[in-house]
Amino acid sequence: MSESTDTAWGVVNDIQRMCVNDGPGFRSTVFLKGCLLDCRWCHNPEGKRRFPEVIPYVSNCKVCGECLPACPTGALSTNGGGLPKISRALCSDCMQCAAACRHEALVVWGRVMSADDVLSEVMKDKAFYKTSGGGLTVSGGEPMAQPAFVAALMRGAKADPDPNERIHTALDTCGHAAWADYERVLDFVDLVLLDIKHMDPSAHKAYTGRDNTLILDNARKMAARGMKMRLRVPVIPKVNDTEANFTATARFAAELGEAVTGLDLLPYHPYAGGKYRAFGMEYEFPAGEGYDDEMLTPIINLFLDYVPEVTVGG
Amino acid sequence: MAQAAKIQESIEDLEKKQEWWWIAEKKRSKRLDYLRKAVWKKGAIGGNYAPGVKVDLEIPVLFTQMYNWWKFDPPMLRRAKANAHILDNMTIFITDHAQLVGYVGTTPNTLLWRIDGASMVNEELYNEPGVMPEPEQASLKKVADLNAAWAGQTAVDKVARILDPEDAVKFLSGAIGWGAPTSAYGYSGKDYEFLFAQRNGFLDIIEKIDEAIEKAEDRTMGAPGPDILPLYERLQNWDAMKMILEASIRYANRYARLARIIAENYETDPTRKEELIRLAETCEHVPAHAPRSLQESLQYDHFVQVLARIEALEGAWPARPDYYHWPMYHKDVNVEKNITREEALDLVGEFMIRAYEVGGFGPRWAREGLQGITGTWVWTLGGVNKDGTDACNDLTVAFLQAARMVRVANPTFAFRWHPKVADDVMREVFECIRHGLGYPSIRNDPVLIQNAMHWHGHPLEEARTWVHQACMSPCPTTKHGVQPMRMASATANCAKMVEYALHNGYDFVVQMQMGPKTGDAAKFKDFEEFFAAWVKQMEWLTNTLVRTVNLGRYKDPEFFGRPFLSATYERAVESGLDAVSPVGERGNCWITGFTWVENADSLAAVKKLVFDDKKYTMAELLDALRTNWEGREDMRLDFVKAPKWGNDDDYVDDIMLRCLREVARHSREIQCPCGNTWPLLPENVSGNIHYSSIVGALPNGRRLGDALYDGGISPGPGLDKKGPTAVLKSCGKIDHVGDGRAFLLNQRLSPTQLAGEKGYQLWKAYIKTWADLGLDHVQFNMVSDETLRAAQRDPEKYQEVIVRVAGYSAHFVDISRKTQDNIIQRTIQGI
Repeated sequence: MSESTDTAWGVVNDIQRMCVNDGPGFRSTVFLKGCLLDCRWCHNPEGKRRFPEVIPYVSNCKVCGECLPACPTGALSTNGGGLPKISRALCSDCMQCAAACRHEALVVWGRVMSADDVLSEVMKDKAFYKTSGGGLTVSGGEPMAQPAFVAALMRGAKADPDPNERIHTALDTCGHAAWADYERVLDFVDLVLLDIKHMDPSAHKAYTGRDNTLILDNARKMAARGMKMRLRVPVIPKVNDTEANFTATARFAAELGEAVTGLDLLPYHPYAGGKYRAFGMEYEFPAGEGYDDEMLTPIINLFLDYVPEVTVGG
Repeated sequence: MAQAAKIQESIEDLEKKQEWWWIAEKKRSKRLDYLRKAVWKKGAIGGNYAPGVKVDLEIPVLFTQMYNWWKFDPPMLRRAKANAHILDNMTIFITDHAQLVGYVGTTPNTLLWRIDGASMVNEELYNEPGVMPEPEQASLKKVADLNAAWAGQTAVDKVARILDPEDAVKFLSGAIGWGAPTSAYGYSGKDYEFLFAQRNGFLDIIEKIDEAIEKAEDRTMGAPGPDILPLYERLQNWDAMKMILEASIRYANRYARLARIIAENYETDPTRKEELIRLAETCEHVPAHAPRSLQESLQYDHFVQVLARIEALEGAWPARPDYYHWPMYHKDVNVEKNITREEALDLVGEFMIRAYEVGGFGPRWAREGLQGITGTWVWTLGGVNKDGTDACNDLTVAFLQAARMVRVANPTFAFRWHPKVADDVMREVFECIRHGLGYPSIRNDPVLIQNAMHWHGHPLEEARTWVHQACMSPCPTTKHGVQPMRMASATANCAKMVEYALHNGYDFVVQMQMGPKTGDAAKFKDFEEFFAAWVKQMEWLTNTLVRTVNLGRYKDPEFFGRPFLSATYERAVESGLDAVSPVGERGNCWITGFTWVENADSLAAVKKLVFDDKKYTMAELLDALRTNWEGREDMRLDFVKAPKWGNDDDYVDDIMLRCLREVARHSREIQCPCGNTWPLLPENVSGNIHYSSIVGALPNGRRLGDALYDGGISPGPGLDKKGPTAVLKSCGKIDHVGDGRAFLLNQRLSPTQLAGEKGYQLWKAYIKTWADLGLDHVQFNMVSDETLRAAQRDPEKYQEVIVRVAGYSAHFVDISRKTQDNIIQRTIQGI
């Protein structure tokens, strides 16, 4: 094995095997914890914070009350016998309440794992990667919130002295990280899945908390480096689904040239509402209806004038 | 007028909505549409027959009349005369638009009742008032008279009388085995090499029998001595075989005559008239002679199957239609161009429908174990030729296409996959799965050929002819390989192995001492002592079943007798022995392992929580199990959370392998009547439901009454937490050659993941990996809209259904109703 994978540790939310939408073939997608943006429509609120935390999964709660005495800081309350609620201000992330819960209603999200442990889980499906051209995808949250760990994972996937035993790697990123961090990673990455959420800097800032200057800049640098990229474009009602914005996005894709092998539209869907409810959270983003084929066809056609391949969902 | 609206919709729209049944209607011919809709559903729905389905009383009456007349004849001859009497006198009919004929009942809605199988099955007729033909009172009287005549005289009665009484009681308790030790309810293979490859019509066989008789008579007329004495019995058998073949030819000619009568006197449509004349010519030619066209070839095969069923209630339908009918298909469609491919598809579709409408009366336990079907008609497609080259052909494709047009639940297909299968054939296989048929199942041909050689010593060329003897087990179709009697009663309720190891051999459900006393489990000092007890219970259980079945098989020529089956077996025609006699058969037995995986999961949970972590004592566990976990839900959940098979976790996977290897060792110690091995074959049909009230609480966290796992080596539902690839990895640790005869694996895949060209490529890669891992079987269930809707109605039962949208996954039952509806719509649109 090459240098230092054994010393890299990261916070992992989940490892999902047999994913088919995060790059070619069958993949194991490693979801890291922590995010660099704050998108208002976020579908994975459990991926936002950087460190392990307890999130109540209230739909599993049997209202037994056994968690209450376990909390040493008084962060946990049940509003007088109802479903559990955690005050983030008081919580010390001690996880005692999760240990006390027998119904998987108080669940620890995020597990500290070594890169080796993650890789050995990922490598279990090597036989499937070989036949399908699949491999490892590192996603999030935002994986680049943990750049050293990502580097260790990607390097590990490519560590085998026999090139036939190395697996395909993909990085699913929002683009908003220091270029120096990307440079540590990209040598070991075959494909970047890069989100382009909005082309207008101020709108980008309004909806994600950051403007897009760094993202677009990084995208250009990746292209210049010869990275293979797929652009991932969320289609969000009343946020970015204007012809002007998509035309700008498509032109940007064309500007990146041959680096862009295709573009995946990720239409907004209201499913996250259910997840937020399960977590006992409010989904603030105004619920809209999803998109059907008819609404997507003109968008697909628009992009097809600029990029070689467009899919819905990846 | 929903129907009228559907006619307006385009096939593309219906595809989007996954309304495959409407697509089938649009694509099939008018003839197939009529025939498909004219079929009576014979399989039980839950445990009950569909309204209007009746038991056929004409056949048992005819049989009993003649059987009683010839009471002093030897078994095979007596049965040949009685069965010939049925064939000469039973009511026959021809379905409108049909091009193929042959039914096991005297009207389209009847179930065959073989009265000579088992009194306990005959008695069950009284519990099913709906199945009595009108007028009911007269039928009940008839049934009562028949039952009185046969009480204590059936094949099973005769076996039960000579069984060791202890074995008989334990066997009949219903706790450890399933089925009956007689070929009256057997699964007979067909000697397709003799009938089709060697092109023998019944007249050709009669000629061979005459030669054999002549040769034997030369000797019986010669110098006296002990060697000629067995020949007298065989001469009578040859007479019986000849008699039933002649009756079979007469039976076919009755159809020919009926077709001509209709054509010449009643039919006004000139096209149909022509068809009826062709049907008549077909039945005049087969089964007397070898077939000359596809229609004759299919008709010959169907006659053989129907005639075998009129002789005994067959539980299975071993067949390889794309292989044995290919020469005539090729000649008709490709070489001589006598018929178009569409006309051939019509015949193939009808051939499947004819099989679908065959049904026999089965007792309730059989109906519960085989819900929705009347037997396991698993037809084999694909595979290799005897020289190892790819055997797939355009008829393979035609069968796969016809299946999507007729959409019957029985027969189903199993596809012999091998590395040389062409892409266009794989696409057709995938289409069937994508259309939600649930079949074909995929079998790993190289592994199973090696397996057949390993366990039963079939030579390579013979092993390559294999077909599914029942649902899962490969069996050659050759002279010495073909198996005349697979008895379902070598079906073990395996969960009892670990249950008895825990309770010192005592069964708390049927409340008697069943297995040997292997010691008070509370006193076991370590896991090894517990495992040793399990091994002893496993040995006892398999021994008991195999002893019973072996005896049933050995005595079957005397207690039952199969003249027709014998007449279609090359080795029986040659020897003059009943085909069921073990003489001349190589042996191809297996023990069907119902409820198998519960053993590994239970042993692992005990090892982890009692012996490794010491969280509970064995005494506490036994107490919890005997009170069905009552008041100990926390403890039960701990046992549910213990390591489970199917998660690529060596802790439990190693225990699974140990268990399998103990059985594999024992499989060589127990022998079939041919002297060959008895390997294990884990699979469940729907026995997991039947046994839910018979298997007590188990350390895997299961309560008495909970359904058992759905089968074979599939993990428990919802207990495979790491997805389908981890399941394949666990299963890949099993040696699919040396550890057992075959291993059933159910997998549920999401249609969203496998939609479109990308979906097909992923599925193909998946199959390639499955093969690389050395598994022998897999069948896919693409989660259908129906399932998702059922999940909405009954979320508790569908916890494991996962839906994934790009970037986000959820358990289906966890999301809102509206969102669920949206996903149901979306599943069809996936890219």
